[in-house]
Amino acid sequence: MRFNSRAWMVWVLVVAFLAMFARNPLYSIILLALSLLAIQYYARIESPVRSMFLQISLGILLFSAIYHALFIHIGDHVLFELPQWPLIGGIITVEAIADGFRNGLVLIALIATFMALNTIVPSRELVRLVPAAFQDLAVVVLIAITYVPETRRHLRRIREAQAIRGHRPRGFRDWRPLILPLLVGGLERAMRLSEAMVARGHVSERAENSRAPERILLIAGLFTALIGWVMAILWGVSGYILLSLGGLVLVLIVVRKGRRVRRTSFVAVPWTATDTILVFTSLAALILVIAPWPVIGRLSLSYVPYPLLKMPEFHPLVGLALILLSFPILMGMTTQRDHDRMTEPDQNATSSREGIRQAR
Amino acid sequence: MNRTLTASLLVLSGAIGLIALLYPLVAPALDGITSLQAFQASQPGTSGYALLTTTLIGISLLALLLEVQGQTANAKIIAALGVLVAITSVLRLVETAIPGIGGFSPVFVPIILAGYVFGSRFGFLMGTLSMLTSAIITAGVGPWLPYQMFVAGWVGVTAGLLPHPENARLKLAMLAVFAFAWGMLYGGILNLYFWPFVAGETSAMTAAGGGIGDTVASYGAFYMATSFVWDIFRSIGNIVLIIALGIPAIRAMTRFRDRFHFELA
Repeated sequence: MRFNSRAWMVWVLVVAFLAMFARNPLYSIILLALSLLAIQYYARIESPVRSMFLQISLGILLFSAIYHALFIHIGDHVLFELPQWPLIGGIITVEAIADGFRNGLVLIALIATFMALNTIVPSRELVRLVPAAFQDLAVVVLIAITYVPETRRHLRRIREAQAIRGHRPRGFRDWRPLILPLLVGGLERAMRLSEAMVARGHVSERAENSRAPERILLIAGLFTALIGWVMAILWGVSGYILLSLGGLVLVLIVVRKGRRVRRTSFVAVPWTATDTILVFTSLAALILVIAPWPVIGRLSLSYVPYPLLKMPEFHPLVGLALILLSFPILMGMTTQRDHDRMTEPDQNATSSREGIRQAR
Repeated sequence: MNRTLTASLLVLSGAIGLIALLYPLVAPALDGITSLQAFQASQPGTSGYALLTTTLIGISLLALLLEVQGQTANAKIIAALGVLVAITSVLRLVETAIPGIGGFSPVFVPIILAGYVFGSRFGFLMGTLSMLTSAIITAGVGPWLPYQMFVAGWVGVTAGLLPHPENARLKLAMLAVFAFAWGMLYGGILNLYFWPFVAGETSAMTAAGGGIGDTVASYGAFYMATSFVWDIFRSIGNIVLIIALGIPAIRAMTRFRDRFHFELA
């Protein structure tokens, strides 16, 4: 079972958005579990990466807890008191430590979500997600990604050639005979590549990039987004609307510019019904959580452990909305079960053959 | 008209970046949070300063890229950018595989040199696209990426604004100081975005009742604890690389710049 990278992107963005939006540790744990399960079913990560993630997670939890304990001196459960040192002096409370863990969990959930994106979606498909309006930049990124293995080979060849001449890098200055040929060789390749691009019909110069009305609209969109951000921080909802409006203007310009670009796709990535369901369930989860429904326990989305530490509230409807995000995991489990079932008869046959052999 | 629009866009995007990143330092003075009750009332729990700011920085970065990408219309520039970004990404790959001491990273020197030789727009694209490509290659895509791209872009832009003295030693000294300064600034600025992520909504609370000075002091303590030593190594590494490679790399790039700009009339 494999989803389209665009569908994965929607899922990842929704999970990441909710990880930052809902700051209740119970919901953070659910989102973290979803990301980790997605990695388990759809990506092959090596054990060093797994242990690195574990180390980073523990480091974040520990740092966040210590930071909160030292800087926030509020709470009823006092562990001990530090002398009145500047900034960190005062009472150290269980509540502050719990708040630190809560924040750490949000960060870990966020990292796990993007780890899912990085490990599940191949880098070439990530580049394919770049909108057509950014065609020139996508070409630069594609050239860079294509040239990375070649650049590594080039560096190895230079090292070998210099080693034959008796060169052994010891200090920083000894890197000069390695780095400079790499740079000059790379720029020579760039010359050849550009000539090949022009020969294949790449437009060599374009007088205008954006039309003036589009650029005026872009400035207006940016300004609206900035005002929206300020208002969202100071007054809330009305600011969110303005910020979204600014973002929408930018999206419209990107779509308009993208329509003017002709793009050839050599390998079409199919979009299936399961991709549609993945996008639908992800967006449904997002709307269910962020929209101001009276039945959804919006208060449970936040968790403040001060002044007295208490259990975070869990609202079943929010939990249900988050469960919608488990669609790819259910599909992954089903696929794995089917795969296991397909291989089972062979194992049964082997074991029955073993049994017959033993009986004889 | 064209120039005015470009300048307005660049100034607005730069201002957005500055306002968004510096907001945590002035927040307590602005909203006057003075008590726990007021703090709790101000904290919907779901407003998420980090979420809002990441969205704003993302929008601003996209607008900037949309504007600046006109520079890459030339096939030679596209190819040169692609290859230089590939070299920088390989350096970051080496850094990921064999971590240097502290925050030492060889990726800033190519961005600085490219910005210095090819100009601010090229430097901006070199910075942003180096961060983007290396993140794709090293599986480092995340909400931190827009900030990294933005700040690395600034490194390239400001490198393009430096003067070009004839004296090689003076040029080297100027670039070394510049690389040292950006080594420290990069950590300081990125920590500003990371601070609210770690501290949550409570970053404002640490300076409850205080002014900007108190918040800056609080951030200073956070910076010293998390980033200062790290950044010192990055800055010293930048100086060493600039001294070792700066002048010959500038000469090589300048030779190619002249070839890239060669056009038949």
